[in-house]
Parts: sequence; C-alpha cells; structure tokens
Amino acid sequence: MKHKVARLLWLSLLLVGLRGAASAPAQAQLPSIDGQIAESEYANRYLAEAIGMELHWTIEGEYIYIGLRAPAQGWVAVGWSPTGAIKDGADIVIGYLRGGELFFQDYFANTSVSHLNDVSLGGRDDLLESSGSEATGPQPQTTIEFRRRLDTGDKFDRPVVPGAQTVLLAYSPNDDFVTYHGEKRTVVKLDFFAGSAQEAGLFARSRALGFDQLLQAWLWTVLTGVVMIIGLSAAYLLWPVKKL
Amino acid sequence: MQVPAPEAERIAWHTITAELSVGMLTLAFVSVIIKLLGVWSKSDHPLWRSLTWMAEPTAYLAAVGGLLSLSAGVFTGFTYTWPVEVLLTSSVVLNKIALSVFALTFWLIFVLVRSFYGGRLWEQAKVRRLYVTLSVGGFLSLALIGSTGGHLAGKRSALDIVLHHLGINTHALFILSETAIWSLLAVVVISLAVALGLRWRRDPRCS
Repeated sequence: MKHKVARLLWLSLLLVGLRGAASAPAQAQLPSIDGQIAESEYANRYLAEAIGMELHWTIEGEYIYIGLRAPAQGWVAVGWSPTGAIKDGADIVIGYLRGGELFFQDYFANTSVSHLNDVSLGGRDDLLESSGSEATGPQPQTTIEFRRRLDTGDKFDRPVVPGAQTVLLAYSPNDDFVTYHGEKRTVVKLDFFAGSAQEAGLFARSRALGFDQLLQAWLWTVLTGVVMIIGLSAAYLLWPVKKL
Repeated sequence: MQVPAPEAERIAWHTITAELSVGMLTLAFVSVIIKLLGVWSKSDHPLWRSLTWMAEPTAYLAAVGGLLSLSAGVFTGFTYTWPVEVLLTSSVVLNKIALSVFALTFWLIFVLVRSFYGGRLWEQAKVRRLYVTLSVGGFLSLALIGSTGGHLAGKRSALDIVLHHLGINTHALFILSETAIWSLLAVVVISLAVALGLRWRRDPRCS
C-alpha cells in the first residue's frame, strides 16, 4: 500500500513536471514586462532611423507586447490607426518616468493635434501591465514596455489587426503627457502580424479632402464676425439719440 | 546642468502671454462691472465711492495691457507652439484663433471708445451701454479661448457642461453657411445705412 501511494505521488509529480516543461519554452519566448528590452526578447523590431526610436513587439494569442525605446529622458509614445488628419482618431499610449515611477496612460487623439485619456472620455484604461526604466548620462534613454489586448473592445481604442496599419512614434525630453514632440515624431506603415514596416514620414496623410474649402469658409466666418462687431458698434454710435 | 528643451521653452512663452492677457482683461471686465454698479448704486460709502472711482481708469489701463498681451499671445501661439501646418489642420486650434480675433476686436473697440470719449463716457447712457457690451463680449470670447485652450492641452474645460447645454461645440469648426454670411453682412450694411440716414435727416450738416 505504501509503495502504491509513493508510486502515485511520484507519477503525479512527474506529470506536473512534464506539463511545466512543455509550457516552459512558450513562456520563455514571451517578453517580460520589466522595463528592460533584451536582445531578441521580442519577435519583431523596428528602428525609426529618422528619430532614433525603437519599437519592439510580439503578438501572442489575443495579446500584443510592446516595447518602446527612445534616446531621451521624457515621454515616449506609440499610436496607431488615425482616422483623420495627422493623429485624429488614433489610439495612443504615452508614458514617462519621474523619480523612478512610471506614469503611463491609454489615450485617444480627440483632434488632429490633441489627445485625452480614455477614462476622461468615458472609456477604459486597457493597458494590462507596464514597466519602464531610464538611463541617464551622456546617452539618455527611456524604455517602456506594456501589454494589452489586440482588440480591447473600448471605443477609444483601435484594434491591432493583420495588414498595414499607420503607426505613429514620438518622444520628447519632457516628463508629461502633453508637451509637443517637435521633430521627434515619425509615421510608419506597419503590419504588426507580418512584421513588415515602411516609414511614411512626418505626417500620416495630407490634409483631408476639401480642407482648403473649409479653411476658406472659416476665414469668411471670422471676417463676418469681425465686420459685425465693428459695423454694429459703429451703427449704434451713429444712431441719433432721441431729443427729449 | 540640464539644458531645457527648446519645445518647452517655446510653449512657456505662449502660456505666459496667454495668462497675462487673461489676467488683465478679466481685471478690465470686473472693473467695468464695478463702475457700472457704481453708476446705478446710490451708496455714498467712502470705500465704495473710491472703488468705483478707481475702477474706471483701471478698466482702461488693464484693457490696454490685456490687448497688447493678447496680441502677443496670438503671435506666440503661431510662432512658439506647433508648426503652422499642424495648427491649421485642427478645428479646435482654428476655433481658438477665431475666438482670439473676436476678443481682439471687442477689446480694441473698447479701448478706442474709451480713448475717444474719455472717462466722461459713463455720463452718456448710450456710449456706456456700448462700452459695457463690448467688455462682456470680450470677456465671453476670452472664456471660450481658455476653454478651447484647455482641450488643446489635453485637459477638459470647466465650461464644458455650460457649452454643452448651450449647444456650442468647440471641436466642430466654426463655419457659417454662405447664406448666413451674406445675411449678416447685409444686416451690418443696412444698420449703418439706416443710422447714417437718420442722422442726416436729423441734422443734414452731420453728413
């Protein structure tokens, strides 16, 4: 009886061990969200040479692991799938480190030049785990890693899908969520699934069709407003006062 | 020593000039309201009398300072924030520019009226009404500028709820239809023509 129990125990341990060994290689291939990007940690890597920023990513099941590395101490951001001019409608993730603490948020580009975090818009922060680190000295560096679902279901997020997607990369030497990136920005056509990338330049697309007409109408509107303020003020002053 | 980033330095200039204009023009508006209350009020309290007495020149000087800093704010907005190509693709930025132009116009006429009529404008009900109306228009434009600026800075505005109820969307480009533009311009031309006509009928020498 004693031998039987011992054999069963041994068999159970063996099974658990085998199961662990089988899943171990798969686990080893997944990036660890520890704020450090090791050589070959991610399945894919893209270097935006124009701005010196790196994007690393691995897709595993329904998740995407992303690593960002920029040559500055400040905010680092990645965004994808804008629906309008510049970054309008893009899903954006921005993070920076201050005092060793990571500040990291899920954002949505509510206009072509501004963004608000998803929570303030009524959405969710869908970043599942994140970590970051900074290197000081003559060659400063900010590294941020995170994981999220390919499709979060949040209306202020854009899904990561097979095929080329417009990806925005940017960084700034400032620790906040809003300072303008200046020239430290690039746009790339990237297929997250296939791993192919093609740099598209500074702007995702040219101005929306009909923008010039809109601008002209806007100018007329402003001019009308100015003429109304001046004209009505003058007419009011010129209007004769009734003599009592 | 860490050298400040050029982008941060630029944006700070716009912030400084914008804050200056908001502070000074709000002071001008508040002074106008105090002066107006002084005209209506029958109180002889020495503190109230000196307050209303000081409000008049304060409104004028603050408006002059505010007008200058608002002009500087428009300049720094174009040159020290985002590239013009970027600015002109954002409906929020364009709306902010439009509101700044309206505010500039209101406060410019405000200063011109005060310069022309002097402190005695308060004795003329008609000019006084225009003066107060201009300050209200200028202040409301200023509040809307601040609200759109808040959105551009990635924050929300305290005015959002009010604007929502008023049906004002600062994210949608302010555009009037061609018919509306011509109708409004016609209203201005007709008002001016009628005012001049009435004035001429009353006293032909005025023409």
